[in-house]
Amino acid sequence: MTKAICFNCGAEKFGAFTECSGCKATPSSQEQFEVSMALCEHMHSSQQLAVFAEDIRQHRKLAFGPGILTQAREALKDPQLMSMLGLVIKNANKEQQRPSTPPPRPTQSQSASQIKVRRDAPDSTDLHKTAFAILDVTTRDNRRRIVEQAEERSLSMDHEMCAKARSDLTNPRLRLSVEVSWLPGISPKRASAYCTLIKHDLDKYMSAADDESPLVKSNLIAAALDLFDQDMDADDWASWIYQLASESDQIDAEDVFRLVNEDRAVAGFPLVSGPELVEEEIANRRRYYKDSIKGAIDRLPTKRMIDVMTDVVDTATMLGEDSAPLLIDELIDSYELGVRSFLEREAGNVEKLIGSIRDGATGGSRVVTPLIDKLDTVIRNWDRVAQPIQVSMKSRGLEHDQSRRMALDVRSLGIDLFNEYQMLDQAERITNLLKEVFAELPEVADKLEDDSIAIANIHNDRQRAQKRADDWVREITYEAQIGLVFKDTLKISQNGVEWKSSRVALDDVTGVGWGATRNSVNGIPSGTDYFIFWCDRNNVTRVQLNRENVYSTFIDKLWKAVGVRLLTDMLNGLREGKRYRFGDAILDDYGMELTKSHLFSADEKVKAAWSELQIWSANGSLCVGMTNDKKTVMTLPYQGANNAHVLEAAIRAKFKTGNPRLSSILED
Amino acid sequence: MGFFSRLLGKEDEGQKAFREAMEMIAKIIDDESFQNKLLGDEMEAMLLSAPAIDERPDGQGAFGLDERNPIPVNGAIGELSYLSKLETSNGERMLFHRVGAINTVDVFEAVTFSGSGWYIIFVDYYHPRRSRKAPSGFRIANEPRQFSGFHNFCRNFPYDFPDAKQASAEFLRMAYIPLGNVMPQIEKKVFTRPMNHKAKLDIVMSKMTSRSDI
Repeated sequence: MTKAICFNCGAEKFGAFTECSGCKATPSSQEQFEVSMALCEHMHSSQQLAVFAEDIRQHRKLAFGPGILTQAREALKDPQLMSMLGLVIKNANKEQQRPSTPPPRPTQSQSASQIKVRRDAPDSTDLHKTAFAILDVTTRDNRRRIVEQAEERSLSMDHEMCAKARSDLTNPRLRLSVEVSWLPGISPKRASAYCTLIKHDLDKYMSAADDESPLVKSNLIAAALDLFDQDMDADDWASWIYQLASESDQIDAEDVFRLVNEDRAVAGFPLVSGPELVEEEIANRRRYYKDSIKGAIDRLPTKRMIDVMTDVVDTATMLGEDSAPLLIDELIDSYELGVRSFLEREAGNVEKLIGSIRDGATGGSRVVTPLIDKLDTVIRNWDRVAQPIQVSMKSRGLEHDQSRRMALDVRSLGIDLFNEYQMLDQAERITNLLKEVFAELPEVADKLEDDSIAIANIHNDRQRAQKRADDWVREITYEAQIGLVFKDTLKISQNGVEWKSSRVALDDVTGVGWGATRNSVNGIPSGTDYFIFWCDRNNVTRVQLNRENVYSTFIDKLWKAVGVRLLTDMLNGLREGKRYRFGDAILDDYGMELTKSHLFSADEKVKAAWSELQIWSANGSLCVGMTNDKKTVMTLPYQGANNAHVLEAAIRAKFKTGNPRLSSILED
Repeated sequence: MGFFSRLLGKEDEGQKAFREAMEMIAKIIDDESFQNKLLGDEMEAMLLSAPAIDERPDGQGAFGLDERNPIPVNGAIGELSYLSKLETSNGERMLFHRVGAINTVDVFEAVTFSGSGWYIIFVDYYHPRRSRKAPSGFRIANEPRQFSGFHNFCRNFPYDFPDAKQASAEFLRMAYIPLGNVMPQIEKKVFTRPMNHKAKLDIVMSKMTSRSDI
C-alpha cells in the first residue's frame, strides 16, 4: 500500500487519505485532500516525503514543485474518487433506468451537467458566511473549541467577523439560526467537502446534494444560486429554482429539531426547548430562499428573467394544473409587483388601440387590419410578461384580474367588429389571438371557445350560402347565337338578361313569358316559332327563334334566374294582402275575381275561392275558370301576358296543398 | 474435409469433439445455471436462495462503483462472466482482477484493453444470476464474451495476464480470450495506473477486510 505522510503532523501512514494513527487527523477539505495527495509516494519519493514530514513537524510552509498541486487537483476530479472520499456521486444510471413515464418535473440529475458558474462569482458563498464555516468548527464542537478556533482564525481573518461567529455559536439563542442555516445532520467531513466543492466543482456539489435532507439540500442549492451564470439555459435555472422551492416545502421542523438537539447534546449546549422555535427559524429560512432566488434572477437580463419565471411556474404547476410549492407562489407575487407598472402601461396602450380600431372600423378592413396588427404585438408582449402570473393564478384557482379585464375588452371589440361592421375575419383573428394568449384564464377561455364556435358556424353558413350562390350562377348562365347570317347574342347570367346588346338586370325584370306556335301550310307542318319575352318597368324585350333546344334551355335558365324570384315576390305580396291583376282578373291570396260573360247583358265580376276554381291550358293560353260555371273564365296568352307561367306554377302548386291560401305554398 | 477423412469417419469425431468443446465454453461463459452448478451443491443452493435482482434495493451510491451498491452476480464465475461482458460506453473491453473484498463485496480493478481507463468495480456474488444492468459509463455486450480477467489477485496486473491464464483451472482456461488479444499492449507496456486510480486503490485497500495480495 502507498506510503504517505500526514498533512497535519507529518507522521508516516499508508494511503494518502487514511486516518493518521498519530494525530487521528483525516483530510476532509479540498485543500487537505490536495495536500494529502501530494504527500504520498505516488507523487514524491520517500526522501522527498521525509523532507515534507520535517517541514510539517516544524510548522514550515510546504513548498511543492510546480504543477504538483494541480496534478493532485486534477486527480481529485475523478467522480469515483470523490465518492470514496465521502461525497456520494449521483447514480446517473439509476436515474436513466427508472421505469414508467418520464417525470414531468425535471430532476436534479437532468440539470446536473448544465451548471455554468458566472465569471464574477463571489469568492465566498452564503455557505462560507455561516459561523460554522468561518470558524471551521462542526456542530458537535464544544464551546471551548469554538473559542479556540475563533482566536486562531482571528489571526488570519477579520477579527470582528470571527468574534461575531463565536458569539453566534456560543449563544444558545443565536446559535439556532446558524444551525438551521448550516447543514444539520451531515458529518463534519461531508460539510467541509461541500464548502470545497461549491468553489471547485459545482456540478458535483449539486449532484451530491441530491441525496441530502430537504433543509440541507435547500441550503446547498440556495448558496449555489449566487454562482449561476446568466447564460445558463432558462430550463436549467427553472429546474434548480423548482428544486429549491420543492425541497423547502418538505422541511420538517420536527426532524430539524431532533438533529439540532442531537448535535447540541454532544457539543454541550442547552437543548432547543421545542420545535416551534425551529419552525420560526425555518420560516426565516424560507424568506432567505426566496431572496436568494430573487437575487439570482434579478441579475438576469429582462428577457431571460421572464423566460426563467415562465419555466419555473410551468414546471412547478404542471402548466397551471397543479398547485406550486409555497415559495414559487410567493416568488410570483413579488414578480407581479415588479412588473405591475409595465403591465399597466401596456394595458393603457391596448386600450388606446381598441379605441382607434373602433374609430376606424367605418373605414373598413383596410383601416382596421394594420391597427389589429399592432394590437396583436402589444397583447403578445403583455402576455409574455404576464404569463407566469396567469399560470400561477390558474394553479391557485384564480384569474389574473388585469389579464381578464384586458381579454374581455378585446373580446368585446371582436364582437362589435362582427356585429356592427360585419368584419368576420377580423373578429375571428381577435378571438384566435385571445384564445392563444389567454388560455390560462378559464372564464375567458370558455367565452372565447363559445365565440370560436359561433364564428365557425357563421363561416360554415357563409360558405354554404356562397356555394349555393355559385351553383345558382352556374345554373343560370347561358349564351346562344341566334340568326343564320347576322348573329345576335341571347344571353343570361348573374349580370342580367341580354338580347342584341341590350341588357336588363335580373332584379329589374318585372315580367316574363314564353310560348311556341306551330305553323302549317295546308295542314302540313312547316315549323315552330318560339317566343320569349321579359320586361322591366319601361321596356319589353321580345325574342323569336326557331331552335327548340335553345328555347327550352333558355326558358329553364330564365325561370331559375327570374321566374322563381317573381313567384316568391308575388306570394309574399299576397300573404301581405296585396292583389295582382292578370288580364281582366284580379288575384288575391284566397282566390280570383273573374269576369263572367253574358250574351245580352253586361259582364259580371265573380269572386271565386280556390276551391271553386280550376286551371287548364288551351290555344296557347292559361285558362282559369270556375268549376261549376264555364262562362266565368280568364284566359292569359302565354306569349303575350306577363307572368302567366308564374301564375300557373303558383296555382298548380297550391292545388297540391289543399290550403285555402295561395301563399301557403311558401310555408311547405 | 479430405476424402479419406470422410471415408474413415475421423473428421466426424473431431467435429463432434470440437462442437462439444465449444458448447462447453459457451456454457461456462454465459449459462448462469451451468455456472452455478460448477460451484457445488452447497454454494448453488446458497445462491439460489438469494434474490435474482439487477440492483440491490438498499444500494447507495453509484451502482457498481460504490461498495454500498455492488453489482449482483452469480458466484465467482458469474463475476468473470459479468465483467468480461462489461465494456465502456466507447465499446472498449476490460482486463480485470480481484484485489480483495470489503466484507461480502468483492473489489475488482479493471483496465480497458487499450490502457486508457482504469476502474474499481464492486461486485456482490451471492445471487442466482448476473445483473442485467451496467454501471454509469459502461454497457453490457449483448453477446457472450470470453473471459478477460481473473477472480484472484494479479500482482503485476495486467502484465501477468499470460501467467494468470496459465494458472487458471483447466476447464476455465479454454473460456479465456486468446493471448493475442492482449499481448501487443503488454509488450508495448501501455498499462500505467493514473494518479487518481492509485488514490482510489489506496482507499479501497484501506477498507478491505480481506486482501488477495496478502
